[in-house]
Amino acid sequence: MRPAPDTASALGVDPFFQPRRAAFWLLALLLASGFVYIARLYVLGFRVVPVTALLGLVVWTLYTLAFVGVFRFFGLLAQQSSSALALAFAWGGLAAVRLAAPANAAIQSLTAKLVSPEFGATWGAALAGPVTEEFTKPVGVLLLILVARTQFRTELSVLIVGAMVGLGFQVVENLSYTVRAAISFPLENQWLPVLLNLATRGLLSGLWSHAAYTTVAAYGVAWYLRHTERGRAMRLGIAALCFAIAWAMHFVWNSPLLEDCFGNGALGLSLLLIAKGLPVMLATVLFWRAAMREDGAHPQSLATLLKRAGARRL
Amino acid sequence: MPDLATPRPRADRTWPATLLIAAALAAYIGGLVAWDRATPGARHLPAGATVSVGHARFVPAAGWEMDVGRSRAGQSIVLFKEGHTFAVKTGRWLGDEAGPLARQQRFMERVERVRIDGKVAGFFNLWGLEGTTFAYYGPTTVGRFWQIVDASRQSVVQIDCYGPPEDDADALAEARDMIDSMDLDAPGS
Repeated sequence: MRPAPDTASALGVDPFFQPRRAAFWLLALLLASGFVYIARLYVLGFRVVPVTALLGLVVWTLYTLAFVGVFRFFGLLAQQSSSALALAFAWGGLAAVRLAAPANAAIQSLTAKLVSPEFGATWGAALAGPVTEEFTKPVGVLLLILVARTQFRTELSVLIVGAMVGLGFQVVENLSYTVRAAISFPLENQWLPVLLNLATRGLLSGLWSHAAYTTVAAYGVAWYLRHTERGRAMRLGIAALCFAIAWAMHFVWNSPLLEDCFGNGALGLSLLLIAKGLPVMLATVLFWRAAMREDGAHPQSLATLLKRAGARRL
Repeated sequence: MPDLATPRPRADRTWPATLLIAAALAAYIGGLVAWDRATPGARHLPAGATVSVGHARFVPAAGWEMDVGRSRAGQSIVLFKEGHTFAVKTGRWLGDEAGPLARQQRFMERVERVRIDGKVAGFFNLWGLEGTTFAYYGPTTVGRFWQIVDASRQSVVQIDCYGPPEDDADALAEARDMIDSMDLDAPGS
């Protein structure tokens, strides 16, 4: 017999503090591990290039706030509680980065060992990035859903969590690359690497980076959760398709494809990034639009549920 | 429309999915790391043959092998022999000659936690390349670092040789031979 619907659950009142749920403890453990790992990395960078580390932290924090401002402008933050958004960002920036680091290094090393060092240098990032990171990021979305299933009432509520996971990953990765770039920067200047990374990784790549990939992967998770009227095989198929699209977008971005079509100068690099990134952004916009259409139907179903619950009480 | 509600007892039962996720993460990351460790990365270098990294090229001493997993084509090469490592890294440099050395010493002292032994000294190799060098030591490691800055080419080459204190003199002598054989005229650079 099917259990009666829980009206409180339907309204999304489950908090994320759920010590009775195993998923909560796995989430907490991996977040703590990620925090220790990232804090240690940051301190090491600070000891060598302190100006870059401090300025980088300020710049990428402001960058995050700008992204959040865009989400707010489009009304997307209203889809989720602030704790969900903060946890998603933390998963992306701490746990997902921590989990991806050893796997990425292993794949890059394996490509050099099994094929050639030249192949590893050219294609290693294209293989390691999507394979590892498009796995570790959506895991955070799944864990958050397991911890507080009732917080995810619409496709958009899943998508914004996916976007925040990707944003967290993107920002922490950018900070890490900024500090690393400063350590081997060809000038003694410590603030120029911050500006260069902000321009290339933030402005020219930011709109079609991890936030976009994880949004697409999260759409698959949302579709699986929200379309229970469909068969499990179809729902799994859609989720796998979205994962594959996110994977492919990331692969093309990390690969050396199209590099020969543009010059080596700043203009050539900018055109290359835009040529690779625009299709990703367009695809992501389509996924947001699809989720927004579903969102319009949500209040009607919620009203029906509340009406049923009220009738039972009477 | 899909059912919006999830019954609470079912929602609390997350351990099967959690276990599956934890197992998938452990298998994926642990499996890759184990596979990488189990895959040999040593490449034998033919005696007397020249190896190139970026614009630098040199002749490896006998018995030193290339660590493929830690080398990056065009940027760095790592050789090893009996616990000792000889790492060459090349890059672009537009500043003064002291800049990269100061940054490297900061990195070694503050991140790798080794101590600089004595003062920085100048050196020339057999091809007339001029650079600076210093020795360092840590709890289990001793090493020497060399740096060549070629302002006209806007390039820097950094060489780090380190290992356990045992057989250090032999490894260092072979490292000096390799540096003596080095020039900055690698083709394609």
